Amino acid sequence: MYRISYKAFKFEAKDALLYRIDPRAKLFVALYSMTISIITFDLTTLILLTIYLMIYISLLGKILRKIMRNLLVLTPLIIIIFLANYLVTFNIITSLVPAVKLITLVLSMNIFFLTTSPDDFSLTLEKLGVPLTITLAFSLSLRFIIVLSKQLNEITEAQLSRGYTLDRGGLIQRIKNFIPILVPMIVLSIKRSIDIAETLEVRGFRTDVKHTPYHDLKTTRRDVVFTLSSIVSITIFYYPLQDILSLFIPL
Amino acid sequence: MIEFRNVWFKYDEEGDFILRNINLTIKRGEVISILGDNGSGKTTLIKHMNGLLKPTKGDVYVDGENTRDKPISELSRKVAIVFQYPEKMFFSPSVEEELKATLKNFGLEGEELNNRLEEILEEFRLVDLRDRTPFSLSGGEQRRLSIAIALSWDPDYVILDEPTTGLDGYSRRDLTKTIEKVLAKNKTVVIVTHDLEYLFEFAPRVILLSRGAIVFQGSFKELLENEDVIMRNGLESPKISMLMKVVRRDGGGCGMRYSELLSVIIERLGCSEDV
Repeated sequence: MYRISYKAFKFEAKDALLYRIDPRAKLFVALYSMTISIITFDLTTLILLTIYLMIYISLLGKILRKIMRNLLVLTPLIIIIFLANYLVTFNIITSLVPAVKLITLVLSMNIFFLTTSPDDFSLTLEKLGVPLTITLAFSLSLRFIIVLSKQLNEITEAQLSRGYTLDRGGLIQRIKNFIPILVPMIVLSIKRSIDIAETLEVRGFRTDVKHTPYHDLKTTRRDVVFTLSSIVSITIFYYPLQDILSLFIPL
Repeated sequence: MIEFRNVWFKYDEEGDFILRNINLTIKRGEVISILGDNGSGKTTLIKHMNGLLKPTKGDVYVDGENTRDKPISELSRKVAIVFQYPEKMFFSPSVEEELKATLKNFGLEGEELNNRLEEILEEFRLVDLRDRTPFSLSGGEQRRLSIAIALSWDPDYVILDEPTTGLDGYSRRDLTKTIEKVLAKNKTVVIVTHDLEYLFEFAPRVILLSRGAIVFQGSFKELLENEDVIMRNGLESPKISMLMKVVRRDGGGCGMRYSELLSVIIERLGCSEDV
């Protein structure tokens, strides 16, 4: 089918704890979990961490289905990583480590990325000292992914309705077939960027003055409890359980 | 003839149905308007007519052929859709090149291509604009070019999605002339809109959609007489229909075309035709 689904990039707030937590706390937990994933080279630990993160995210964020969909998209990459390592080491367990590591990294990132709106995302970066011009460009880019994929679908539909076919001919011809889609895509994107720039100017947007956000981030006791319990659970879960299980499963 | 038989449609498995049990027949040579408020499923409905979308349940037939069995490239030869924002279909550096690209795509070459090109440029008053970039044209000119592109390969059905959006008075009159030309060729014209005022130009058969289902099917006249249906479905009753109700007392009728209404008024007021 020619349609591009932009659902994976669309932020939809759900009635779950992770959506209500201060994004800075979520970012901290996500980075901590990613660090654990990176420094761990033990397969049992990584598998346990994967299972734990899946339960953690599905209970606190209700986004397991979305995560599974993202992991499904990554499956070819996971398989390639496994095969590439296997061809070098000829050891299944050693080859599985980087593959499972990728899964834990994706799960860890999702704690923050799938539960934080583009607005909160840029606000978090701003609070962390990133210049406003960069955070604005970043949040606009995030919004643009959805807008551009919608635009791409509409342009493709318009060209198909004009009788153009995208899957006709050899490789060179197939590349040429995309010209009727790429040209309006580029022109309309530039037009849209100019519109946004003008709108920001008209609304008096300036980058040389300090901004006071309309929705500010506030850290509450709940955020502190969340952060501490998450860090402790990941750490406790990681060390002793790994040692205990290693006694029974000789990996 | 385009025929919808018990058509249900949704974009993905988890979502709601966008079209619900659509049964509809569009005959050759008729003007039909698909009405409805925002999100009622108008655009989704027309995308089924050239196979851009396939029904989740039910079938759509174009001249007896099921759209499931035909590729879009083949169906688009019969059914042309001009979308709401024509600039999304332009990709050539000039109006002339834009039309040439379309004609080439449909297999025209050499003298035949040049003759057809000149014919279209002339017919749609694009001669003076032939060297202009399509993106630099006004809204009305872009609309005219998009209709010219759609008609260049001589389809049997022309579908116009919200053709009056963003057009000024001059461009609206221009659009009317263009549509009249299409009708003169005995083509089927489907106008998707919520602009009832504009439909007085053609007084078409109307299909009213609400939440993906057909809630009214009939003549434009019948729709105007059902003010309740108009108000309930997020449309605005045209002020001109009030005037028609006054004229009706002397034998006029709701749903007349502008030209007919004008004749009745001129006759009643005793004005000259020059008015």
